[in-house]
Amino acid sequence: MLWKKRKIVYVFFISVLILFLILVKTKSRRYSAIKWPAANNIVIYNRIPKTGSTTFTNAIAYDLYKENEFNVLHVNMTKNRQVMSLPDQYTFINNVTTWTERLPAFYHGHVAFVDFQRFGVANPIYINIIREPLERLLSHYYFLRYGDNYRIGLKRSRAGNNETFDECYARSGKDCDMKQMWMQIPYFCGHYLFCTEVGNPDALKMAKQNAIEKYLLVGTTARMRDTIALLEVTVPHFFKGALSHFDSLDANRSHLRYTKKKIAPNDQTLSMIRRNEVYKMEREFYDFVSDLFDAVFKKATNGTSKAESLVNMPLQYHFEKIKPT
Amino acid sequence: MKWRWRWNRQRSYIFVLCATLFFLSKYISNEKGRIDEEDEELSPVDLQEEEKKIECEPPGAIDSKCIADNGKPMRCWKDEEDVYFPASFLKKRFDMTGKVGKDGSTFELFTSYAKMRTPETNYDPLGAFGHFSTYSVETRDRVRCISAKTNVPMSTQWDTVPYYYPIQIAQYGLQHYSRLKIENSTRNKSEDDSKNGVILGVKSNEWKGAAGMHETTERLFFNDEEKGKVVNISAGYALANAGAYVYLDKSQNLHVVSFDWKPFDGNASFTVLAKMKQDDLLVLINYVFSEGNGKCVWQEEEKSYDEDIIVQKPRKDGQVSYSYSYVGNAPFGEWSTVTRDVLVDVARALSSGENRKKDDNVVLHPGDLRLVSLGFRGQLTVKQQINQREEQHLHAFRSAADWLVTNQDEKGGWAVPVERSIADRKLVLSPGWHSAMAQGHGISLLTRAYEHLHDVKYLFSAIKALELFKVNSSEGGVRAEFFGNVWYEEYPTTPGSFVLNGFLYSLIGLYDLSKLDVTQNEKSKIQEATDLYSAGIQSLKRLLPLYDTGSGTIYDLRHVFLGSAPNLARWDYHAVHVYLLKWIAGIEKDDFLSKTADRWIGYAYGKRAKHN
Repeated sequence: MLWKKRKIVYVFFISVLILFLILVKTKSRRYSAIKWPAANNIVIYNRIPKTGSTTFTNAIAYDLYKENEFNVLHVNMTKNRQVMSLPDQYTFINNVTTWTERLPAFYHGHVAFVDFQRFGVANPIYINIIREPLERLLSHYYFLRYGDNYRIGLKRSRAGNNETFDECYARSGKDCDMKQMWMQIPYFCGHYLFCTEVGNPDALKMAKQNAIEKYLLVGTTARMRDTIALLEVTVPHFFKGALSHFDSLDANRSHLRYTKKKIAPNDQTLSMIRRNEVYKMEREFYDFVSDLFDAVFKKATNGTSKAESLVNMPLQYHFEKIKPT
Repeated sequence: MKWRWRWNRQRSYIFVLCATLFFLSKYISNEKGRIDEEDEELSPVDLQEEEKKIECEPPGAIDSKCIADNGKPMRCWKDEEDVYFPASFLKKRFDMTGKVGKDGSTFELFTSYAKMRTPETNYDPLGAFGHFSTYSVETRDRVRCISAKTNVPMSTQWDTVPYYYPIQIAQYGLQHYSRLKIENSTRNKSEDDSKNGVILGVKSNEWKGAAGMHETTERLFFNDEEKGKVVNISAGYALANAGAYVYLDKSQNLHVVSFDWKPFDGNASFTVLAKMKQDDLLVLINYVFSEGNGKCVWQEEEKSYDEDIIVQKPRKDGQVSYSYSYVGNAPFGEWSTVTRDVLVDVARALSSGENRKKDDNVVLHPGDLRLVSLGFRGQLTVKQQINQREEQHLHAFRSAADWLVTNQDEKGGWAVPVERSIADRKLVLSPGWHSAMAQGHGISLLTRAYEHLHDVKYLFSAIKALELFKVNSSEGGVRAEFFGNVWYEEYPTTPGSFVLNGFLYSLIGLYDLSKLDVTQNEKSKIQEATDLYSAGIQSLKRLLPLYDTGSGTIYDLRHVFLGSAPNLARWDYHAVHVYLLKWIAGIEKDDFLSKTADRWIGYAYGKRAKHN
């Protein structure tokens, strides 16, 4: 064949090849947006008020994002309502899943559990910590009256009111009403109507179900350090180094937002609260999650229950009988 | 055309060659990989070698083998002077106990695990009863509760449903009476009685109760003509409701609560809230007008949210709720007094679980518990005087004596409502059996009640109790004969069983009645008691040697008529035999009985009678 003709043929085939490669590459990128393989590059912490969430968020997100190279974003809910409308849920999910510049990402906010799967998308990694319900309520009660050491000087909604929790309970006051206790269950229950119905047994069932199925890990305020240690070894691409960093925090930073003055309730008040249906349900949820965490932690530390051992824990399994060799 | 074909041919040759090579390689690699996983050998488990024990040889002694009575060879030591057998062998063979002594190096072996005790003072028939002031009937694991209906203990020793066991009730009364007597004699008479307790609820503002919380709790204070300051309460009767309540004193030793009340109907109830030192557990003890399925005390059930009925286990920072049945104790519309030892009620409640084993028995001491509050529900009136005291000896004593009077049958006895089988069911007593020990204990309690509480009903009851001593076992009585010698049976079986300790207790009861100071009308009955007592003492002196084994004592003489091996008394019962024999020897001032008791004490220290 003449050289000229051959050149044309060669050029033709090479250009076809290059075009083909470009097509394949773009196709895969679009697939990644649909297949959602980056789901585990997003962690959502739907934090509950008065559970040590500020300390926790700062310790594992705001202090680590630079080194571990991820983004931290706060979801600020208007008027501190924790439930989103369905359209809002759509835009939230859409934003979170398509904001590729902000990947990996750690989202936190006072929002009830949002189930991505209802919109046909895989759920990201959900984590949370909860607190003993009465302690949480007491903290909130006295926080409204005496504020905390974080934003000192900011007048809280009940500043000036010196009534103790006991006194409030004895006269059936609104601020210490057991309706205020109904907090952690709705956060885990999610966006169903019955979740916000105080004392609804379906809400408790749903909350337990979600805590098991949809959350990677739910720790407790009392065991924050253990929770952080466990997160470090289950989501290392976010929280590597979290435990040693947490341990290095001074007293101030390891316990932010300390409510200034708390008066423990007396035994009679305690007894009456423990007989209350709402408390019993919230407590049941707390005990359920707490026992679960305890079991997971014990297993992870191979029975020692020491957080430090987690980071260097040898694998309890290995691969073998591999074919082909 | 030619040129094209040649060019293409080369290419096609190359292509076919590549294809062939490709398929060939694939085929070969497949062939190799067909090893069956299951056939692979697993690495053998390393067997751990047993650690060699490091031995310490006693100086000069050599390891040796020894055998006892053609048994299994044992490891012994031998030196020039003696042979040394293992302590485990001695303990098993000779029924001994042993442990390293206080100094840490001497090993001590004991024949008896029970300490031998003897009466310290001369016996006063109206004083403390033997060593019963040291008894603690209410902490025994077989005592299910102190009933809220009758204020006496109920037993679960031979039946899972609690029942009244007259001997236990009499012992409860005698225990508290003895403590009362001892406390009265040691206490300084000029001591202020109020030091012993506090009074609460007198001021109206002490009475709390949330207005508007679920139910409306009302408190109306007024002055009653007869009772003084009282409070009318109207509160929701559900147990979850705290009702109207008063805070109690936190002093650890004030665990007895007492007050006067007038319940309107069966919905009225009261609850004591207490806090355990261990685990900060909150315990609610409710007293309700409900039968509770025949149980004396039961744990309040809860429904979990999966609609299963669950029962809260005591756990840290938790709360448990138990209820006592108060049915029949307080007439509606009338005033009555409540007296409860909350420390005992909590301990018994915590021990009342369905699957509780003997080791789960809870015993609480002052300091383990703190009283928090006393709450009332339903419609009722309460006197504004809640007494909180250290003890309720007088109340327990009176309750036991009253129970005996109320529950004495026409034959003059206190029948046991459960079956009792002895000697592998060779001797069986059907429900309704009487006992000389119950009669004796009952009489001892009733004579003291007559003297202390000055009511003739106790005297008449004690006298009536004499009847069964004259009725034979076969006819429902407690009288038996052993080769012509009368015996008063603790377990009136046929053939007779002749238990020693029950007989001795019955003699003491007869003695107590015989020494009672009475009017002319009753003198003849008192003489009867004296006669029964004398006959018993005569039998005792004759038959006592039959209970002596030369190295211990026998619990009863069942073996004589059953033809079986003797039922040897274990060491704690041997101690009872010693104490009782010394007791009676003191009453009779009898040398023979006293010397026998001394010999029996020696048995507990390994002394033995001589052989021929």
